[in-house]
Amino acid sequence: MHVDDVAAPQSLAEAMAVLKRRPDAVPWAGGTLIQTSSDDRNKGRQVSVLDLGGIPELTIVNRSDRYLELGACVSLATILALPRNLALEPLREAASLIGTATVRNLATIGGNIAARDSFMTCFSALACMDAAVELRDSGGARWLGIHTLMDDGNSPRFPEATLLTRIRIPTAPWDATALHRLGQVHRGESYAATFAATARFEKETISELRLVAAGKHLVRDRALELTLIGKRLPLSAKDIETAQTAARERAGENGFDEHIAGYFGQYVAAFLASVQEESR
Amino acid sequence: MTIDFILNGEDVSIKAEPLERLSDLLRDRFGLSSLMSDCLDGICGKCILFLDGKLVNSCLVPAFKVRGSEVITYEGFRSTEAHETVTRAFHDAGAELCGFCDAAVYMAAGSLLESVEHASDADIKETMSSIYCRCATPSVTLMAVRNAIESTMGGKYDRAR
Repeated sequence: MHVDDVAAPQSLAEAMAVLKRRPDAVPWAGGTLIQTSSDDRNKGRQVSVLDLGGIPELTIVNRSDRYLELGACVSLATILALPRNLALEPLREAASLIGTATVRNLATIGGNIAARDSFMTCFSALACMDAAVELRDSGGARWLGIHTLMDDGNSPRFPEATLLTRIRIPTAPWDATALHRLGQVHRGESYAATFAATARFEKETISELRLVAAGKHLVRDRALELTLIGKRLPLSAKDIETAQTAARERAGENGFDEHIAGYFGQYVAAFLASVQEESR
Repeated sequence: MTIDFILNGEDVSIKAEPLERLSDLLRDRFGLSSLMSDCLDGICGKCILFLDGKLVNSCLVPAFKVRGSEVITYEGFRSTEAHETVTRAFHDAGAELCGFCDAAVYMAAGSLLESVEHASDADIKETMSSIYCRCATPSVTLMAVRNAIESTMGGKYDRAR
């Protein structure tokens, strides 16, 4: 892409004014994904860049009793440096799998979420943690569940002329979490995906469960989750096998190829087996 | 566009394309040959430098991003006490680094001396793995950086912290 203009706003209000003038401007935080992505959406295009690096509001980390709020330009290195006693798995695991330490000094959580081509590594983790995102456009700011950033075909959908400004993550700890990554999502590999899961137990039963696979598409199998919630631990081998089959089929129905769908089934089974260990 | 920034302690100004890679800009236009842009993908780590105090891959940084920033390359790092400490530590550990890796390895090790109170073996491994280097084994690199940290602290440090 060719850049004809770089706007460097110093506040969110200035950034929104730029977006109003140039709704096609490319927001640039760390830029690591734009620099390395196979996404050629802007190839050969003359674009305007909206440099978000000078907006202090976007780098704030806020903690309350119930939530952690991250500005969209908080780096992955900053997330990994947050106190270990904060319940941040599986997001911490996801962040640690991205690039090298020096890349993570540049890469931001917002850039990872707002990718337009695929769901990047942190997305499935945040979807499992019930994260919400604050989006800002000319109409103002609004909080939405992160799962709303996809279209009817389960592909990424980020609204035009909109800025992702904050991410809110509930910090109530999970009893079991898992995150696995296959391939390089940012290279646009069709077989690349991230699998994430979280669970809570109460009186030896599963009280909450999230199972997500994300790559070119995103699948969260709520029907399967509901089937398993309320089940007494330990789960039977039949329960786990049924869950594996259901997860594989659901992933296949939602656009994943057979290879990824098979892995999703295996990871669901492995997670449910680990849940039994955690609950003991 | 005109890019004004501080390079190794000096105010500089240069006309550049906004998306020109910082690694190319510094190597081709300022003659800073320590920057080896090998992969152009943030993988090899041979182009690392300090951007506003943070160690980053300059091949991933576009020129417009350094406006008003402070950049320190190996050429600037070479005159610091941290450089002397880490080069001595690598030498004492028996590590002979080639001219392709040494600048990046020494800078990465030097970045760890900034926060010695919090450094652990895990931090050392994490930071040093940002650079693809086959000159020294990981265990020798770990030992060298540990020694550099210990000499900076004036004593033993807690490896498992």
